[in-house]
Amino acid sequence: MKTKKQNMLRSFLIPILDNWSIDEIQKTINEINNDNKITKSEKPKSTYKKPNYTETVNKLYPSSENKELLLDIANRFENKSFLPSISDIRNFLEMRGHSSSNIKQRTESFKVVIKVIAELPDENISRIIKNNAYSGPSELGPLSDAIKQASNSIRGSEKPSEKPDSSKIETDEESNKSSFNDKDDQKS
Amino acid sequence: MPQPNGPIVICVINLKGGVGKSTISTLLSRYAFTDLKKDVLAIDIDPQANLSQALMHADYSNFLNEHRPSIVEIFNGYQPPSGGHNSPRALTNVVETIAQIDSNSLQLIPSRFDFSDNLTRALRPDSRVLAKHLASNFTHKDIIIIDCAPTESVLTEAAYHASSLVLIPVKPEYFATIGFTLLNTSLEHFRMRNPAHQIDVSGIVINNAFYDGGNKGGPEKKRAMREIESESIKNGWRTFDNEIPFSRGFPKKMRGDHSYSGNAVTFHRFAREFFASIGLQ
Repeated sequence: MKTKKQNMLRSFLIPILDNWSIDEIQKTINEINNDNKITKSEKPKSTYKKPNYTETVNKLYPSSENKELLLDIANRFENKSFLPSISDIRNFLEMRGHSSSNIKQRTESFKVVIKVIAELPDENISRIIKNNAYSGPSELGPLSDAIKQASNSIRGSEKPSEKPDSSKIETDEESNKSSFNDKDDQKS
Repeated sequence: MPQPNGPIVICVINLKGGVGKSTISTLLSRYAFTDLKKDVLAIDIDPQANLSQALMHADYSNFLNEHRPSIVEIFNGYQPPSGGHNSPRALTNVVETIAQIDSNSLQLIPSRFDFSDNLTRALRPDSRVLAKHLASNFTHKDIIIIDCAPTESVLTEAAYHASSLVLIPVKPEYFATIGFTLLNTSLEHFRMRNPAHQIDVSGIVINNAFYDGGNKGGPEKKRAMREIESESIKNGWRTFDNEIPFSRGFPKKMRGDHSYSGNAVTFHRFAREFFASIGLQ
C-alpha cells in the first residue's frame, strides 16, 4: 500500500519525466547535492576567541607600572601554579574583603582576582607570587621538608653520630652473651 | 579605630588536648577580620604550631627556611645571628601579616616546634614576656586571640598574664570535665599570685557535638553534658548557646580551603554569639 507522501512524490515526478531524461534529472540532482555540501563545509566558523589571561592583563592594564608582575600572575594562573582551585580563589578573595559567593568557575574568576591584585603595592604582589597562595593539602609535603630541614639545623649538633663505630658493633655471639647477662640481671 | 580600653585579649585554653583549640582560634581570628572588619592579632603559643600552619599555608615553609622570628624569639628577647647578620639583634616586627583590608590586618605571631626545647633550656623563663611585648607593640589592635598548648607550663602562665578573658572549648565525651578541674585550679592559683590581674572565663563552647543528626549523641553525650553543666555551674562559668557541630568541613575551613564546608558553615552562629558576649560586634 502506497503512502500519501509516495503518491505526492509520484505526482511531482510524472511531469518531470515527461520533459527530461532520467540521466539529466540524476545529473542535476547530483549537482544540487554537491552545491549543498560545499555551502555547509565553507560556512565560516565563529572567529571570536575569549582572551587568555595574558591578553586580559594587556587589555585591562596596557601601561600599568606593575604590568610585569601582573603578567607573571597571569602566567602562573594559566599554568595553575597560582590559585589552582576554586576554593583557593574563594579564600584569596575572602581574606581581602571581597565576596566570593558569585564565583562559580576558576576560569571566569581571573578578572576579579587580577583587579584585586592590581591595587596592591608591588611588594605585596611579589609576596603573593612567592607564596603561591595555595591552601591545598598537598602543601604538607614541602612543610614537612621545611620542618625536617629546620630541625636538622637547630638540633643537628645534638644528634648522635649516624654511622655506628664499627669497633663497638657486637658480634652475634657477644650480643647473645649480653642478652643472657641482661636476663641474669633481671633475676638478681 | 582601636578599642577605647585597649585590645580585648582572650586565650583559648583547655588543659585537655584535642578539643579544638587551634581550629576555634583560627576560625575566630578569620571571622573577626573578614566579617567583623576588626584589626586582629593571633598568637600561637603551642609548639605544635597548627594555628600558624593554618593561617600561613605554604608560607609557613618559607618562614621556617628563612629563620624568620617567632614566639620563640619573643621569649628569648632577641633575634639570633641569621640571614647575613653576624650578631644578635633587638626584636623588630615579630609578626606575620596574613591579610590586610584598608587599615585593618590579620596578623600572626607564629610558633615553632622547637619552642618547648628553648623554654626547657632557659634557666627561668619569664612568663610575663608575652604580656610586656603586647603592651609595647599591639595596643592598636581590636582583638588578640591566643591559642594555648594543652599542658600546664610557663606557656599557660604567659597566656594568663597577657589575657583578660578565657574561652574554654570542650567536647561532650567521657573525659570532658577532667580538664575543667585542672583549669579552674590553674586559674585560681594564678589569681592568688596576681591579685591585681583580672582574668575571667568568657564561657564554655561545646565543640564537635558528635552524632548530632544521628542519635543526638545518645546516653554518652547526655551524661557528658550533665557533667559539663554541673561543673560549669560549680565554677560560675557560662555555656554558649550555640554548639559547634561535627563536620569534616572544619579542617578545610580552618586552612581556608572552601572546597567542602558541610556543617562548618554554621560556625558563624557561635562566632557571632561569642563576639557579642565580649562586646565586639
